[in-house]
Amino acid sequence: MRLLRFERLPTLTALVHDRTVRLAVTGLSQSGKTAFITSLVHNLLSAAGRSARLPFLQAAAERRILAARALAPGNDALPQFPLEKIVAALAADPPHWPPSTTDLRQVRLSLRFSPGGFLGRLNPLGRGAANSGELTIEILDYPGEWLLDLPLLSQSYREWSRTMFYLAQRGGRAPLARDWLDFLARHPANSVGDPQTAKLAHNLYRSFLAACRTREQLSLLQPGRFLNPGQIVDASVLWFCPLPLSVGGEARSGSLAALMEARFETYKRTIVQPFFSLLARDVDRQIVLVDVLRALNAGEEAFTDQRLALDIILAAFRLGRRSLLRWLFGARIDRVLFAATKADHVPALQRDHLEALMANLVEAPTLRAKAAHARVAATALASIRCTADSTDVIDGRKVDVVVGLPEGGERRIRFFPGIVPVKPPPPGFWGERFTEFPVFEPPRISPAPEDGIPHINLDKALNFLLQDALA
Amino acid sequence: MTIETEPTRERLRPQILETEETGRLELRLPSAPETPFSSQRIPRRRSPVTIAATGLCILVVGLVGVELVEFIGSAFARGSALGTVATVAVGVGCAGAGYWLVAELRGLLRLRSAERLRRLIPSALSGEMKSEIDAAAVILARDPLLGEAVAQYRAVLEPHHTGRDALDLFSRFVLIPADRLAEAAISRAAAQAFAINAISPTVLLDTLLFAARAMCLIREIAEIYGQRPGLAGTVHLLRRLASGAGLVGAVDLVGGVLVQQLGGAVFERLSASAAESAYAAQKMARLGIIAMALCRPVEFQPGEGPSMRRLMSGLLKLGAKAPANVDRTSISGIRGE
Repeated sequence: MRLLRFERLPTLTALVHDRTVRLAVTGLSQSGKTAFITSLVHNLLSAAGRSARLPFLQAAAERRILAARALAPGNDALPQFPLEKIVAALAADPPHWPPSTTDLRQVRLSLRFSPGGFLGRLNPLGRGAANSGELTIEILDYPGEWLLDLPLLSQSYREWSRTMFYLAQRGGRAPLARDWLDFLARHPANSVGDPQTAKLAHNLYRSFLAACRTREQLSLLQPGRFLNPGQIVDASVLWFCPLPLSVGGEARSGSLAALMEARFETYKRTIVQPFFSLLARDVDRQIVLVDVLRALNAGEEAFTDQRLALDIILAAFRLGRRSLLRWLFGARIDRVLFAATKADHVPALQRDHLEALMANLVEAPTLRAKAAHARVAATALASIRCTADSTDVIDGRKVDVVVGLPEGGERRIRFFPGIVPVKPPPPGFWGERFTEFPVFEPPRISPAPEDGIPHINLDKALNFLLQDALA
Repeated sequence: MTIETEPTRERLRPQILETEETGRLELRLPSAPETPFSSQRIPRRRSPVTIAATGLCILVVGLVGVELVEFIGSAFARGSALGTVATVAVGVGCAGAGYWLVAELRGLLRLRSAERLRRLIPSALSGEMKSEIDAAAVILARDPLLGEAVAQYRAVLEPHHTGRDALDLFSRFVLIPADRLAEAAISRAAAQAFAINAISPTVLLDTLLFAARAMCLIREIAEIYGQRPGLAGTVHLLRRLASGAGLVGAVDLVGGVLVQQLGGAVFERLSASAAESAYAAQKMARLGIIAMALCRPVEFQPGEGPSMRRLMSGLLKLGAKAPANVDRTSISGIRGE
């Protein structure tokens, strides 16, 4: 009888500790989602052998991670995240960064761990293989531009058009939108809905969005699929753009406005809604990656635009502590981490500033999350660390810099990122834009998951996101 | 009056600076250093008491030296064989005394450097903190049970970690295992204090045995934190403990009154001595906690300090487990045995 009870203990452990955590990695384009996912997976795979890369992840520090392996995607419709290809790129000579994500991909990882609590150390069966829990981590990778479409779900074509027109006529956008606006002036909204005209208007609008991104480094560029369409069966669903529409009223049947509105609604229904369902369904944890430094150096408009884009994206997610009631009504994200990426571009002393700036930037979403009883934190991290700290003298002043090898270069450069403010900067702060942000060569890593990938604070982020699941 | 102020300096803009350096950066994990780090010593003014004590010591050494030389001289006067024997005897005696003196001084210095670190670390700047923690690691690495923990700490510490990160890692990898060892030692001592109080026939014997066990505990805790105090170190520790022990004494007084009252009223027929024994164990545990706080090279962070509740529950578990097992279990969480 006694033996039978012991035989059941591992099952009890499994019951308590086996679970799946779905991690939503949220970030605008170029925020470092692919690098984050690669580093996360590779470092966790390495943690079973050598925990030294993740000293702040409690389970790894206590050597409770017994084994880790990558799994095939759970959903057959989703392609697998090309981990091996990306790791091979980082292990090549010279190592190089993976290309930007152009479509949906999923990565699944299984961690076998020894529980640290009551069922771990006090279990009479000891710390053997039978007394272990299994954690499956599911992560979705997707082009960051697509996130910007989420707010469209709650907007009508008229509302969206008015917002886009308002933005297009101001700041750095105005000169770039001239061709598109001139075209629309010649083809009013109530003119005949010719598909060819709609396609031309769409092309001009898309060129405008692309120019906003490359020249002004702006973020709030909708619809996101115009910049990164992914695999769409019928491309004509994208052939629309905002039109100058008056408040109230309805588009005349057969007009250009009616054609655009119909395509907008189809786009929402067939493209945006399925993506959002996939992204937000059963998500437990969320990490929001933000390239604050690039926006900060790109000027006031780029910085404000990024903040606005973040605000409207985060409003689309439902946050809240896990509970039966909230589970029934769909709110499940109980931990949110806001992370300023590319922290290796600033020296150690300024990383605290970057973290504080990140926390201040997301003050409003943080309050919303806290009100919903979700746990929220902010950090500054570098998923793949490419630099080392050093000092230099600029204009007779000794300053902290970072040193690294620029991608494709032979000589190292020292980069002084300016003074990172701890709060969103006041108007007097902004000077000339700095857009030559250096791209450092990634460190050459071992393709086998042994030594992990150098990083900054990735382990702290993982500990915040997974600590309770690995307890 | 004109006050000249420094002109406002223009804020530095982001810049890329070319260098002549070539090649990739080495970002591999650091291996544990073979040689211990040396901590910088801050030069201090000698106090008059120290100068006077040094002078007196030199006087005593001089007197003893002269006496020994005369002793050897008189031995040689009686015969060369006797003189040789006397010289060898004096040499061995001096070597023994020297060894003892060096051991005492080393113990005292370690104790002092741990105390200095405890004072410096809370106010150290981020850059300084790392070197101060390295110095604390050197002290703890001397404990054979903690050598591996220190090596692990050094293996995970990377150049990009801030001083605060280093303190967190040091606490997680080194200090917490050391604390567990110290707590196990306290639990053992408390259990023995309970037993001593229960079986000792006289109050005097009880007091003497309690004091001896308390002394052993203090030295054991000091050794766990890498200090190995000699006679001078123990005296120094006891002096530091006096203020903390005063607290124990006060609690003892109140506890004594309570035990008397309870012993008379509630436990009249049961066992007043059992309550006293339990109280002796608690007193020993309190003394141990104070000794931990004194010997630990880094002050306890919030939530890290040992609690009486945990120690007393550990004491109850001791009844079922051998003390040696407690040591291994408590440290295996980190070492992954």
